[in-house]
Amino acid sequence: MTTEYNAAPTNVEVAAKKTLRAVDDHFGSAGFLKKSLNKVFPDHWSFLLGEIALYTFVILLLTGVYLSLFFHASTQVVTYNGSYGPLRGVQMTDAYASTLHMSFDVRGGLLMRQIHHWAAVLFVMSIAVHMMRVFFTGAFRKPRAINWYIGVTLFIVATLEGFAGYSLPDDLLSGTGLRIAYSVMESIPVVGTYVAYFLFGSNYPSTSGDFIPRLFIIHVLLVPGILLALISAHMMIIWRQKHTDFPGPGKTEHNVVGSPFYPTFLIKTNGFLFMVFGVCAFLGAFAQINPVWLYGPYNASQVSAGSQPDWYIFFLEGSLRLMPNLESNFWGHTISWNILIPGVILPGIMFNLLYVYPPLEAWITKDRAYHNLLQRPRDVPVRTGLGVAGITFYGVLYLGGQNDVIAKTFDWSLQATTWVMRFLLIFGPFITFYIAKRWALGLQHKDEERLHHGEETGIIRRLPSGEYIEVHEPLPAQRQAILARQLGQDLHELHAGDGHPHANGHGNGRSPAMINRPVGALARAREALEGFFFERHDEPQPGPEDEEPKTLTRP
Amino acid sequence: MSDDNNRDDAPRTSHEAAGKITERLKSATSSSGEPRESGGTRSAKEIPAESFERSRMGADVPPKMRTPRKVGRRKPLTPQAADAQEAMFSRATDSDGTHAVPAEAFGIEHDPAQVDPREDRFAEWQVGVLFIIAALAVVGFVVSYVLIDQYASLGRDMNFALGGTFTVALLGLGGGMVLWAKKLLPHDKMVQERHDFFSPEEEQLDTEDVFIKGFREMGLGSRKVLRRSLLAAGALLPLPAVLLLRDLGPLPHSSLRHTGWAKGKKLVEVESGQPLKLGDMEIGSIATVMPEGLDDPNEHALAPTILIRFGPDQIRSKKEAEWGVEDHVAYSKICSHAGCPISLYEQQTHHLLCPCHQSTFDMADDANVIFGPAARRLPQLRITLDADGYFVAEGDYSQPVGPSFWERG
Repeated sequence: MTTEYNAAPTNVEVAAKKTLRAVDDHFGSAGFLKKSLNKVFPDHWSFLLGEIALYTFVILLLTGVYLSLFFHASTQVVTYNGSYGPLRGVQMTDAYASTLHMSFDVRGGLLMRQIHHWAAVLFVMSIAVHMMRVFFTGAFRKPRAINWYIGVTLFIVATLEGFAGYSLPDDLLSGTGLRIAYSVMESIPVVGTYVAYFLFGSNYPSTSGDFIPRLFIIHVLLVPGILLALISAHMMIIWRQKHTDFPGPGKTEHNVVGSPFYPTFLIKTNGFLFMVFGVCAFLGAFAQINPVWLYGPYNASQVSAGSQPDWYIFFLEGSLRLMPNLESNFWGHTISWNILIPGVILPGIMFNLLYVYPPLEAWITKDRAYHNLLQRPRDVPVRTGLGVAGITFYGVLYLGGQNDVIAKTFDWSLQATTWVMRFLLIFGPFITFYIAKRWALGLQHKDEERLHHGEETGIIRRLPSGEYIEVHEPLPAQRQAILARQLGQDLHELHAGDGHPHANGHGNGRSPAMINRPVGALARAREALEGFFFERHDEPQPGPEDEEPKTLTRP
Repeated sequence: MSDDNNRDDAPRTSHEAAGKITERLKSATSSSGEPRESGGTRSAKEIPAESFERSRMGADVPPKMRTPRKVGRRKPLTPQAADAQEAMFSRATDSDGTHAVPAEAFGIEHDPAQVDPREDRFAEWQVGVLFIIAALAVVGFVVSYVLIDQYASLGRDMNFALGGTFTVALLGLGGGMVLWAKKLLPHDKMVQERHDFFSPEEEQLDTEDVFIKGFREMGLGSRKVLRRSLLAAGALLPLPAVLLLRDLGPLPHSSLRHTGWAKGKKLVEVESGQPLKLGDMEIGSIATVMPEGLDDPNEHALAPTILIRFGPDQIRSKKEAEWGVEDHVAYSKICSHAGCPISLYEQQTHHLLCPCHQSTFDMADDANVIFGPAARRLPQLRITLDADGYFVAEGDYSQPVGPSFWERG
């Protein structure tokens, strides 16, 4: 049922109507357009994280195209003759010379370079934080697992893209990173040297190599194409499946509540795009990043102390640094475990765990339901614990990537720092898992208390017996319903239910279906894991003195 | 919330109470557009009024705890906001059953700008000023581009000016737009039904039928010759693509075992480009050297070598001393871990540390690994002195230099 918005149309509106009509005459787009303009987007600050990733990608495309107009992807050796005095007369590759040229002789070139680099740093970072949001709120559950896989792939590809990007200028820092990457490839058993030679075109480094032109086309065409395709798929799936939302007033599994795409969301999100761009521009203007002219051209016989990659490579650098020195020699062959494990196997396992988690959790919890409402981290303590353990593992590797800087800054022994990190890498995740899980259970406990006993009012009353008690107010019914849903509890103990049962084979309410004993080893393993997954804080048993509650609701 | 009475006509905003726009900052109107319930604290209106009646409270309850204002009653919207709201409520329902719901249903209040014409005008100006600032910043960008000397202080002035104005332009534009949505658009919410993620069963069945029918027509299931020959052709088709990649690079062959060093090649210092002879080095010093005639390290990635001069009797390894000459020893500079050039030498301890991954080698003990991820000693280059007293290599390295690889053995 359509109501006309009755006001005399202005000239602009008439023109807009004509345009819409003309477009529809060609594409029959009115129905689609109406649905799209009416699309509802829920509001929550954490939903902006993915938007930051999207908008930094837009910024990367814009600034990247500009940079490509000035960059020479060439390993030809030239003598620098530009305006940066300290390097004048130095022999360097054209790639490095053109980077200096765009930094010092192109007005605004340095700004664009720095915005590009900062946007890249923020791009990978916002993907990572967005991924944590999706993980801890259970947004990856059915039907959104596919989008989770696309997102993890985006994270990996973005990391590679960033590495390819900062390796292009052929300065001393980037060359060091490439040399390590080359060594990692070389360590792959059987095919390592071939992979490295084919990719780099020769041994690395080599002035006769085709490597910079290849890396350039990978960085500006191949990988951005993949990113663009994956991001498009990601967005289309979100559009199709509609956004998730946290439980709240009026929100159910079967609706989405928020602002319409047009005009509210459109204005807000464009404003956000410009603000993200503005922050990148601010950083590009006032925060120096990757000053390649200070490092000098790449030279295979040089390296500077404190060489650090961009943040998203730190974990690889850390795993290389923390790995003990294992190497096997047998039958005329060498396996360099000290590179293969930290450089290839470990990242492989880490990223595969990200891929595997959604189906694994669904299998353990037997959760096959559709989910549109998000969970809070406390609602699923074991998942939260696992996530925090994973972040801890990654975080120790991240710190390991700067163990020399840490040791120097705090005047610690480098060896002791490294050993502490080795231990932390193994035991840290267990410790933080336990803490996070207990924390989540504690918060659940608090929520249960609020649900069953109400909220503290801060009002202390004196009973006729002389005893002082605090007045507790029951939560408003709506709030109770939301909280009960979040805790996976049935409301009917509190009042007579709201008609339909919640789809609740998930969350922390253990599914009651396990009547038949499992037979196979796999099924028994699954059941054990399910027990582990749903272990939860028992509700406090009332002690003898608690039988008469000390809390009063409104007298 | 702004003064202590419970009359029905209590002011809605502190602006109404105090008559000043700046006073509004002190009011607690919901500004985020979020339901208040989402926070950890509760607003007073959720607590039924009786709890707060003075007669039920102890004497020491502070007087500022008071009955909340009534909910659900508000002034009419400004004409613009009312128009916008009407437009929203008259949006065409799409097939997902979208409908608008007043903001109050979610405990959200309209921004003061939407109920008070003065606030409305002020908000419009706020947004407008931000947009004007953005426009001025763009002008500033153009002026900076033309007027500032791009070479002044290594381009920093230009970078600050262009980046600063660009930042202001973007933040002004972005901030203005966000403020526009927040202040001037209605906060009413849209509720949209979610459709099923799967199609109706008849449609699923129909689609499956179409697919199976086509599959049978193709005969991929029943025609064995067709299927197998197609598989063979399909499996072989990528082969040219793989083959075409062959010339991406040379095969490694034995190139990883050679470094450019050969018998009689002088040790040329990289910095000065001069061959080193006995007496050039002081005790405890090190030098990076390349083979004579191959002085670009990038051409010969595995050739960089360090020459160390020890004091008398400091070398603890017999082999090391034998392979060197007159307390001078030469080792590969390329780390046996990941190929970084090792450069941090501790003169007193004779430790050589790789800045990339902190592998540490005891150079007085034949480059034994004493810490870090490197698994092998650095290879030693056998050197001697020629007739003129110059250091020369006795040959190439006796083992592959640099990181390990499968064929290394």
